[in-house]
Amino acid sequence: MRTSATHILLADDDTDDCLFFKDALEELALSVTLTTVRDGVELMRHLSTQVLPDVIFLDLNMPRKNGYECLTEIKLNAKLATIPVVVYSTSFEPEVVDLLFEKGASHYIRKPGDFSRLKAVIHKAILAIQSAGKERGSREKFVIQLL
Amino acid sequence: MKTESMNGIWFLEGGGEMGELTRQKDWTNTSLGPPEHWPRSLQITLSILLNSKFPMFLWWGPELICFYNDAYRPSLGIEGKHPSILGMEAKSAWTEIWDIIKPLIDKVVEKGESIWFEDLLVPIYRNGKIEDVYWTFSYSPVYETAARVEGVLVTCTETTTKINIKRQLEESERKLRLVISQAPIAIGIFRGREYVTELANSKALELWGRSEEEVMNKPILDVMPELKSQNIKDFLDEVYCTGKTFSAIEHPVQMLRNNKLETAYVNFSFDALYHQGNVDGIMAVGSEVTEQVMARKHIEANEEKLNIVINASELGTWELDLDTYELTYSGKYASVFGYREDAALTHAEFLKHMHPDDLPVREKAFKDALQSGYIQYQGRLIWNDNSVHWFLCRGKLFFTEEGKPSKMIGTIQDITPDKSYQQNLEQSERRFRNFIMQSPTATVILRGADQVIEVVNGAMLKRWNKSEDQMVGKKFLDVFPEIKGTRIPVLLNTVFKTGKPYREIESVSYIQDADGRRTRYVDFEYSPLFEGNGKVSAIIATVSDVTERVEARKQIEESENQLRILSSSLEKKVSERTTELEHKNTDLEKMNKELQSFAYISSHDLQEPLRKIQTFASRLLETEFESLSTKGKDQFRRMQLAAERMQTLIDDLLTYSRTNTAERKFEKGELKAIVDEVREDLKEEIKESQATIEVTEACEVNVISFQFRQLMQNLIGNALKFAHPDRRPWITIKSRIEDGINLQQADPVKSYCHITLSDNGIGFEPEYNERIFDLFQRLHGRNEYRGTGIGLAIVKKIVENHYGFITAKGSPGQGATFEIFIPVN
Repeated sequence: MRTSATHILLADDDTDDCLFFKDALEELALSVTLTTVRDGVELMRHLSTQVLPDVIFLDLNMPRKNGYECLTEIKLNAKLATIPVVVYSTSFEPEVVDLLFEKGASHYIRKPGDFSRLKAVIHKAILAIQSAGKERGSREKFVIQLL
Repeated sequence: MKTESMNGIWFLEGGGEMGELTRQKDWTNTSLGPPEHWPRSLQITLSILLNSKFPMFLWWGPELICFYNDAYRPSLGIEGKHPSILGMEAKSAWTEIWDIIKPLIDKVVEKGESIWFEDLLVPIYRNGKIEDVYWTFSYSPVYETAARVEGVLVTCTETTTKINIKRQLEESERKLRLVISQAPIAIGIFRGREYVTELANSKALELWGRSEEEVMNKPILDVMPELKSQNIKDFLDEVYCTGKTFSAIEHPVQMLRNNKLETAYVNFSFDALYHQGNVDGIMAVGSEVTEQVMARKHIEANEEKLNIVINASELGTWELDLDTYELTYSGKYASVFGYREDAALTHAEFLKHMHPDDLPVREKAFKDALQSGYIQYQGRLIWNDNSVHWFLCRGKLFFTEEGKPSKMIGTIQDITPDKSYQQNLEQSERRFRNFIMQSPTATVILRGADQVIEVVNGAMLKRWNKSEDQMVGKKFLDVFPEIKGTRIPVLLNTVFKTGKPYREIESVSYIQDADGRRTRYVDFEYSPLFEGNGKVSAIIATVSDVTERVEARKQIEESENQLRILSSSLEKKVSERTTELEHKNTDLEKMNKELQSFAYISSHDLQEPLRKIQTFASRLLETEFESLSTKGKDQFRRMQLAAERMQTLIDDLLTYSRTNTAERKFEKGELKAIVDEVREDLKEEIKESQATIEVTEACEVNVISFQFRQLMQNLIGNALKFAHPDRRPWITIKSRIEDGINLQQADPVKSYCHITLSDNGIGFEPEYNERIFDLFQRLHGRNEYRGTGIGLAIVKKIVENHYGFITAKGSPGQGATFEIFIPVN
């Protein structure tokens, strides 16, 4: 069992999605803390000034600096490279998914259109991160899917 | 001791005339005194002198008293010093040469030395005059005692004759050399085996092309190395070894003259020169005859040429002696008379062949020849086979110095072919005239500079509306005075003067006939007629009426022109339409691209609000659903279904647009493996519908993997979706390689992977077999079968992305079959 709460940093410009994420975490009643940033620039500033999170949930489509640019920057920075990144996006394109795995993302979540399913994928992702520690998972388990 | 008994003058015994004279001379009054008292040495010397047959002379004592013997006497001549100088003092006896001999005598007397002279000129008085006399002599001392010279003994011989002979020899040699040097022929003398040039006259130098410095005292073959390769050296050696004269006539010798190798023809001879019986040199005598040889060769060549010409011209030559009527003739002459070329006949025999009618012609020609000196006449010969041949005889008369005709020389020629040519010509002229007369082309012949109408044919008479009588023999301008001042006479004159034909095509002319003045088109031509001498003698004018042709062509041209205008406007329209079409095509492509990118972007962006609607709806359903009325619950479900449909639509649209934009990476794979993957993706639906999917034949395919999986998924998905309600779905998939040549729509040189997918579903009306691939095309109501009408459009798009094609067959209730053809490479 973990002794302290898992600190989650969510980067998403969509307030509705941030609300769903927060509601989902609350309902899941996990031992987690959540910090939210509104775009990539804010994310990178946060990472350079604040305490580092245990996991980053990263939206792709963001103003100023998009998720893909952020992922690249994080994985090239030795201090940040070990933080697991879970990409959290509306769209699902196989080529993009492949590219994100290559760039070092830990998991991919396609935002579902059903709240209960949303809760389930978030839960599954957090569990995967917690159990894996600093280890990154295999390509087969990259996309978090519900059976 | 005999002399003692003879008055003591024994030493004067004998000695011939001079002995006698010496004995008889009274010596008592001389400084010597009587001979009985002469010193012993004088006595002995005189004894030797008088008895010697060799001419001897002695001067004795201080006065140099003269003694001499018989042999010496001739030297003194007939009317000279003999016999007066006997006993005379030298000074008186030899006055004329005293200056010459005194020093010599002194030398002998004073120094006791002997002196020797050879061929010395000592002129003496004899034969009544001073003569040049040559002497070979010695003065030797006669000693009285051991120390004292009392006399000078002269032994001498006169060499005048020898010298004169030598002189004459030299003179004759000088003259010879002069003769040689001035000789009009080349002469050279070569000494020894090396043939060293000792003498070469100017003609020789000229012949050799060398200067005197070059040749003199040098081996001639070194000086003229070009001779070595010729046989000149052999000739020289031959003469040198055998002593026999060698001579050659017109011998060609190549010599380097004027810096080039020239061939000279030379008549020459080599003669051996002897010295003491042995050959020691060669004299070459020669003269160049190149010009003569060349001239003769030229004449020979000319004669040869003349013979060739005479032979080629078929001329027989003859010579008739007018005294004897003896005839000499060439072979051709005989052949003109119908004999073999070697036939031997007399003049009279030849004459028998003359046609009797032509004998007077011949006679007259001979008579005329006596006046003019030349003979020329034509006649006929009757050959032995009775055939008649025309001949032409020409010749020249030669006269004796007295002016009497002596002989005739001439030629004879068979002119039968010429005669028949002339006859043919006349015939041909007649034919030509007939041809013109009968020609449908209007033709007239205008003879001479006055253009007298010689021939005019019917076509022309008709054209001019005249009769032949009105025209023939009249001047053209007299018949048609109205054309004076027009260009026609000018053109005719030009043709007549220059001999160049003039023609005009489709010239406009006007003719007057019963219907009045009409415009006609004519082609006309004025051509010169040449005589044998190349001069124009007449003009042949032809006129053809081409009015119909011109008018017909004008009509064709007119319609062609209209056609051209029409066709050009048509082309313009086509071109405009093509451009328009191209623009539209471009616009369409642009629109299509815009549509695709719109579809992608919009569907992508549409996902987000839709997802939120769905998420909010799911939350409401979870938390607030129970508080809704029954109607509200139903409407809520309908809203959820609509949202779901929209999501499906968006997903399909995204897939469709991605098939256009996505990267096309071809990979080889097994069809069966792809079907298995799809089977895995669709396992829920398969399980639910209890469907069977069998792959009966499968080949390797070269495909864009994820697109092809999409294709198979859509087709299998469709088969499951449109399953027949009364039976379980049964899907059969097979594939094989086929040649394009056996397939419609296919490229005949390619091979295709032919995939067939058939089901036992509800099928479709055959009329829709193409429309079902259109975007948003649906054959069923949304409530019967869910679907967006995009699935098969995606399938078609993917097949096209693989450069293949797809067909569908179906009938209602009987299932459907899709056939896919994808090129192997």
